[in-house]
Amino acid sequence: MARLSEMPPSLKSVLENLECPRFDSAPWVEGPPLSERRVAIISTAGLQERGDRPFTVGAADYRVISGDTPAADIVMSHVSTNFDRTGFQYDINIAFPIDRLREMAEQGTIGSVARYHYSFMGATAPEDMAPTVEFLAPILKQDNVDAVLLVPI
Amino acid sequence: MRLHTELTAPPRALWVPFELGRPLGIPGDAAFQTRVLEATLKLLEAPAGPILEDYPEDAPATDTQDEGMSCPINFARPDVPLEGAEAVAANLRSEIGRLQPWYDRHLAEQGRTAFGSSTLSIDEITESIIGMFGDELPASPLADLSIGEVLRLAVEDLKAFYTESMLAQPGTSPNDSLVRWFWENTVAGQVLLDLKQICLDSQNEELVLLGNVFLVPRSHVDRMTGDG
Repeated sequence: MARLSEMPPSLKSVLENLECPRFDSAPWVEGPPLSERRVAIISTAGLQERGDRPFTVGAADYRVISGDTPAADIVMSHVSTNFDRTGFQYDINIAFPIDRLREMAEQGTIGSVARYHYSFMGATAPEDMAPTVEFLAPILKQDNVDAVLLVPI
Repeated sequence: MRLHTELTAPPRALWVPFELGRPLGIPGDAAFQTRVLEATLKLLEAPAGPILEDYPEDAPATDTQDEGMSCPINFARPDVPLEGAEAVAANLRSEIGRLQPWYDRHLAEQGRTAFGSSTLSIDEITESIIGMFGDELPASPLADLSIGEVLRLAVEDLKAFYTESMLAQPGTSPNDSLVRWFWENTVAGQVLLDLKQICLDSQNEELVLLGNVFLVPRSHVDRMTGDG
């Protein structure tokens, strides 16, 4: 269903005509083997810890989600009504795969899971979020993160 | 969206064929989710890029419209729009009351709820929505959010309450039939469709935007207008 051909007609039209940022350069870096990587999740599902400020229309800011926050304490305040939420209501890992990452760390597939993860609200124009991302990058480095899993919704 | 990834060309990307809202594929299927994650993280070991790979394994379709409604409860939704705040209030409260034991059961069994982004209780949510059916625009119940923002979050919480109430019942699973059931069979669905019109008719710019975009999914609007 993430196929344009299967979208509801009005949504398909919006997505087909969505303006996307283009980049002049194609940065490429390599790092240690996967089994040594420390992985953080950056979600655009508008997730927040329960009781934290909800995302609002046009929000370009972010929320911190601690790696040890129980799944029961993570909620979603994304503004869009046009994606399935029943999956998230049933299993948080469908959009925020924290349990899967922990399992992969225990099995040695990845090195470790970051202390902090981050969420944006993906209905906002990407260029509005860019300054915030630049602000977060050194914080990820401080957490020794060398792999980021970008999970759109 | 593959199209958007082609245009932005990030260094490493895995396109997945799953429904929007389900980037890891299948809720409750840890093995499936792990396979998706492994395919994604494996891209980190690629020697050159940018890479855009297609994930080969699909998830079962969740759109069960051809199989009819599987939800066991018939709410006997009124055939005509509910007239006036009192009728809306009585019908909505009664429906929520019938679901409450199942919501409580879901919470007890799962230890988790997606309900709560508004920070309001289900009773406060009900009152916020009912308040919109009166003659005057109600004040926001939360100091730091406008009435429009409160309504948007309250409506998402209301839908989570309904979905989770159904998920606790035997024979239900998280799929599109629950969404269709909400919009086509419940009083709450009818109330929100009426609320959409109230917002569109208001003089409040934020409420007009809410009514236009943030209350009813496009898929349901398309179905109502015969485009879906």
